[in-house]
Amino acid sequence: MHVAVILCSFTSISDGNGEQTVLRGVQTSLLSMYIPSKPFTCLDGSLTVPFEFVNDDYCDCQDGSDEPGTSACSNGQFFCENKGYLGTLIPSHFVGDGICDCCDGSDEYETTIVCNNTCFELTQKFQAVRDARRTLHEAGIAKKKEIIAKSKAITSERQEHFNKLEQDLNNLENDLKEKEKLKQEAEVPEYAAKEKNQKLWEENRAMQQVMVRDQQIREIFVDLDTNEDSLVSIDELQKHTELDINQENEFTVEEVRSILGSDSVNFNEFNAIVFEKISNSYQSSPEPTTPTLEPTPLPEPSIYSATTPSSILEKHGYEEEEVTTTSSSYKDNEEENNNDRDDYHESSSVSTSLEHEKHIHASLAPEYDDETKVLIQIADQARNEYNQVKEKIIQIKRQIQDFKKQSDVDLGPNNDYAPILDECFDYDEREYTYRICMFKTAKQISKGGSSQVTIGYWDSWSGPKDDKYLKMKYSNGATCWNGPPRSLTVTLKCGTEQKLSDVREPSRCEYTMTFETPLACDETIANRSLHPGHVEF
Amino acid sequence: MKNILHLVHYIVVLFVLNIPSIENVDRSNFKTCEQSGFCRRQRKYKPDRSSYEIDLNTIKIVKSGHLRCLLLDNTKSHVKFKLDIFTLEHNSLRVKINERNPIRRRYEVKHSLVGEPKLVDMNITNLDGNQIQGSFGKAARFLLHVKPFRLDLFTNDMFVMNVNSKHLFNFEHYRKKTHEHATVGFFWMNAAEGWIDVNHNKNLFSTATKPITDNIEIPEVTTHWMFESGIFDGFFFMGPTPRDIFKQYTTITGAAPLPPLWAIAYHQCRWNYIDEDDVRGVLNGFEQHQIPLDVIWLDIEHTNGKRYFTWDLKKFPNPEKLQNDIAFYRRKLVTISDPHIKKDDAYHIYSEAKARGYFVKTKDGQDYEGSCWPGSSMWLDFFNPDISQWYSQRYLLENYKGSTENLFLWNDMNEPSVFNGPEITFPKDLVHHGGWEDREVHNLYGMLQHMSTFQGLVNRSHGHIRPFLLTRSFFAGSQRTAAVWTGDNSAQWSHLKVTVPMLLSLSVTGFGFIGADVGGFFSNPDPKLLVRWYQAAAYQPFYREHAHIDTTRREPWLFGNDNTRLIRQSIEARYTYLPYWYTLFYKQERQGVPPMLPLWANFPKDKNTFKTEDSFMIGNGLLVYPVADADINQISVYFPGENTIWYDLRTFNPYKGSETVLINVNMESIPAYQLGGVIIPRRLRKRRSSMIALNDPITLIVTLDRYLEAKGELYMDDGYTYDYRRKRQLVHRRFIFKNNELRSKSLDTSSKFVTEAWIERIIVLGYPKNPNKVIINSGDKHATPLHSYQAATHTLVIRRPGPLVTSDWTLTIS
Repeated sequence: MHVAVILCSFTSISDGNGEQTVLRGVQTSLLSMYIPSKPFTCLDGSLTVPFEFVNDDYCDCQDGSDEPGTSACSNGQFFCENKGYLGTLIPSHFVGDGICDCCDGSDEYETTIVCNNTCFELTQKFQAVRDARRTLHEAGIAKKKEIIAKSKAITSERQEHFNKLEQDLNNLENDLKEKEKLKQEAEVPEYAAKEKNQKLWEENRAMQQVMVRDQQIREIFVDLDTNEDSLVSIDELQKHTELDINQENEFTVEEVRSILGSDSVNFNEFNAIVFEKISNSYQSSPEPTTPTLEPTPLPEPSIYSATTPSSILEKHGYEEEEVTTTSSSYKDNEEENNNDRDDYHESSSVSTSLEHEKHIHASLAPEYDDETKVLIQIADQARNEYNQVKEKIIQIKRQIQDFKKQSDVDLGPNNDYAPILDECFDYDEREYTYRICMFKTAKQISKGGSSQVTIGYWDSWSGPKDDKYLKMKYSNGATCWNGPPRSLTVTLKCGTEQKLSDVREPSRCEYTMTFETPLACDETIANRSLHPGHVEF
Repeated sequence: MKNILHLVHYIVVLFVLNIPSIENVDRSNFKTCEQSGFCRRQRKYKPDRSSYEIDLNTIKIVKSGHLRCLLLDNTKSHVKFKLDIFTLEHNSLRVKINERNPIRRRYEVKHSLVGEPKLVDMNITNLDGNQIQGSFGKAARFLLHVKPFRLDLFTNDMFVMNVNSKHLFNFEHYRKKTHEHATVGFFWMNAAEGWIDVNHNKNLFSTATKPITDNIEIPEVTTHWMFESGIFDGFFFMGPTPRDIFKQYTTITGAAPLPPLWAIAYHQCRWNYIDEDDVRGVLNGFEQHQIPLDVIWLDIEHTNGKRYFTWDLKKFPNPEKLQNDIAFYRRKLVTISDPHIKKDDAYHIYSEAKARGYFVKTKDGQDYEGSCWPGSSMWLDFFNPDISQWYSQRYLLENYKGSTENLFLWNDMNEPSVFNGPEITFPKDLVHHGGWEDREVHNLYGMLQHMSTFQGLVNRSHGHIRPFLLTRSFFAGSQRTAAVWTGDNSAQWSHLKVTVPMLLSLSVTGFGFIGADVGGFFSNPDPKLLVRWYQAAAYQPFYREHAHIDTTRREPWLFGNDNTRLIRQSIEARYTYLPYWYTLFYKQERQGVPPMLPLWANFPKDKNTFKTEDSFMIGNGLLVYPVADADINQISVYFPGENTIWYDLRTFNPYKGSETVLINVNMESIPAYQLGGVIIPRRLRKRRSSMIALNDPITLIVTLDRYLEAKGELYMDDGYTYDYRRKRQLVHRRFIFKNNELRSKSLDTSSKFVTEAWIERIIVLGYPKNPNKVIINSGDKHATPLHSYQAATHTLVIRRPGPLVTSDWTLTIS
């Protein structure tokens, strides 16, 4: 708590402090602010107090600047001179706490404990650490240069490859235009010839249908005409009780007559008046086994159905795959195929009562004339070539896409990390082997290999703002029971070889790894020259 | 009225919390009365008229303060009961009812009591053939009705409580009218499974985990106590003030002792700090972010496969060195030691206990085997004093390898938790030492474990160093040896909120050293919740951050600079109040008054405080309203007491008592107010740990009441040994501000303690004008310290008055 107050009466306090004590804990750069002959203004400017208030073991300034040499302020700073070592700032509340924080022991001037001066040892230690670090970085930098050279080669190789792909794509696209033109040219005469064939065939089929129907009526007439007098009479028809509309009663003479329209009919009258009325319910007489008019469950595969199943199957992959069916020379258009399917269902619904349909359809294979066949062959050839180019374009586009996706991965400054893209590193621990495949995934593999768990997929560089490439983040790994998806942070550290040197799990399912690599070595550290006997701070 | 209720209710809580609770709070996990045969039967039992009567011919005074007679059930003439009434010191009364010739003996709890309660004389008068009156203590009186049996209690001729036994284990408890002038308490001493129906107005509460909202208009409260076994052994505390009740209760069961100073500072815990590097990393974090810390904890994973008293040497290869490093800043380590012992012949604790037959037995006499953290485990039978003693010896430095005097203990899972047991605990038919079934003694088990642990820690230092130990299971009497926390809570705002009523419940039942896991044990708190929790708990007795192993890391600096600063400020605030807390803990040891109190304990005449459970007091001087809502700009603060003044400690604004004020809050706010009339000692200097600050100077915050007076106390000692008891090495000062004079005098003239601590600052709030001069006299020395005055807030600050804390002095303002 700070009590911001304006002191209203001052009496001078003298405790005989020499200048040395008065300026205790003041950093060298701020000495000009502490002038014993003048009142002291807190460094934040908030208050001016008599100079006697400086280091008098009472906190006056909100920023703690009046007590650098005592523990009176919670937020002040004490300067350890640390002769022979680095001068350092420590929180002023470390002063007089019985713990030697400065290597020269200057923070414990008022306590009874004795602080050994450890500045010399510390300097040596500092030097040793610094030298080791320098040596490491130096060795690392040599390796780093190799890797960078490699990464440059890889990068330019990749760029070349990419350029070639783009060029190939360009060429193929031109080629495709050419092939499309050829295809269209071949399809025009083919279409005309096929149309002509089709028309002829349809006319033929209509004639056949009429003949078949006539034949069928004749067969029924003969079947009904049991006395073979070329007339169907009331009593002959009356045997066919299935024709009785009102099934509950007897099939009366009147009812029969209403069907026949008179007492008897000849073939022409039967054809004109009676057949339509009875064709749906008529059943042939049991004994003479002439034609069976049982409804057929499903028609035989029609000309249409011969192509439809494959088009149905291929429908899903169609848009992307551009499936080419060279055998079925007509209908490579999806919409048409759909229409075909509709036809197919329709025909199956109308053909339930008359078996003859199947004979009609069975004889329907369109037999093109030789001229048309040649035209189809030529068009097939053109289509084939067109499709082949198209397929190549798809493949190359895919490669370009993959390449671009990879290029989006930030491979570090100047793509330095390109050589380890996809490279995997293992770390063996008591229970698990940890495997990281750089810029891809990280896994925890149980020893014995029975199971493995993904602990993260490449996410991003996640170092602090000023050192983004210090850490890598892999996230969205397998979800923990009762917890979040696993994730991993990799800290990069200068080393002479590339390896994982530590794996930890500080929070459940949040992993950390240390990855040593020459790429994390710092040239400025490596180049720092050694001056034996001289400490450079 | 309310006061009665609370105490009874809180005693209830005491039992209920003994039910194992390893899971998040889910009410459906609690067994209900309907699920228990005896309780269902008892609850249904509602006779029109009691069938019990006193046999007048048998009444006799066994000795002074002890009346005995026979109680007969006139429906079953062969069943006879012994009724014992004891009149005790401090206006307390004990009633015991036991069968005279039970088919099987009934268990009588002894471990809760400090010793045999001291009797006081009772003056018996036989008013007529149907009533016997006994007067005792200070204007206390009981009236025993013979036919049917009934016992009425009076203080100052005011009827306060009544027992009307309709059935042996039916107990009723009445108040006829609302009265703010008397508080009474009842302590039911029984370790078996039980339920208490609390019926006030028309509401029936059969469990007591939910704080009872009282209706002041309808004063009558009935409690119905239904217990599976044991005897009727009830203590009646006649008050009349809440503080009297605390004294009366702790006279019987013992007061919580003064903990070591560092134990009331900040603790950092997690399940689990993984290894030595991790522990050092966390300690460095506190250094780096300049956050004070006193204790770091190791949960179960630090052991070799949950074998307590061992270390996982791959993770903790050098535990002694680790503890010495921790002790460098005078910090401590706490390790966990649970009562389940891993079944493993190669584990020395197991093999030795097994060989000696130290494990709890099944009804067939076999060692009971159940499952807990280590897998298959057995449990020590602490009811056998030899086993308790053997167990306590496991804590000696020579037995607990890798431990040092800087290591302290945590007894968890001691209900005990048995993962595959019925109701996740011991089967009721297990047999303990003396042939007692678990059903008779169940709730004592945890207490017996931590009592042994405590003894072990005392013996470890040959009685020199005060132990610290935390337990999850507890019983009446646990306060004598352990701190208690509220178990496994969750990172939810509602759980933060409920810490206040839960801790107050514990407080008024004698458990003064209590806390809830900061941040919530289960799941991850959002940073706001974490900050608010740190702020609230900074003003609660036991201050520990703890988190489940499945949570993300939660050290104070992991939530951005702003939150780090807010958390640091909360912890720093705690440290500035440690002199005050320590004084309150000392007063608890001496007088039984817990440091954290409900408002009504200080303002028993203010009916508005009876329902309060969103705020609390620390001692008689600090009122705290923790912010426990996610997005809130204002809180409504009620300032208790008529004619009181309360000072906001950040703005120095005064507020009038008996008024509710809307206070604006932001994330920095920890609404806390000091009562006018109180002097609170603080240590405004910062240090890395509490023990380092031991000799640092003190600031006195003097808030004046409307008579411009104030008083307060300060207790200090070495912070960790028993020398304050054995060698009287303590300082206990009283400060009185009156007639423009502030005096410091010793409350304990026989005490002697040497400290360099001095008074560096005195802040007087509510001082009317800028004085001319301030003079301080101490013995033959005198000085005129500087002062400053802020007219807007009537704040007088005296700069460097300078006397040693241990000296007598007078400061005169003129």
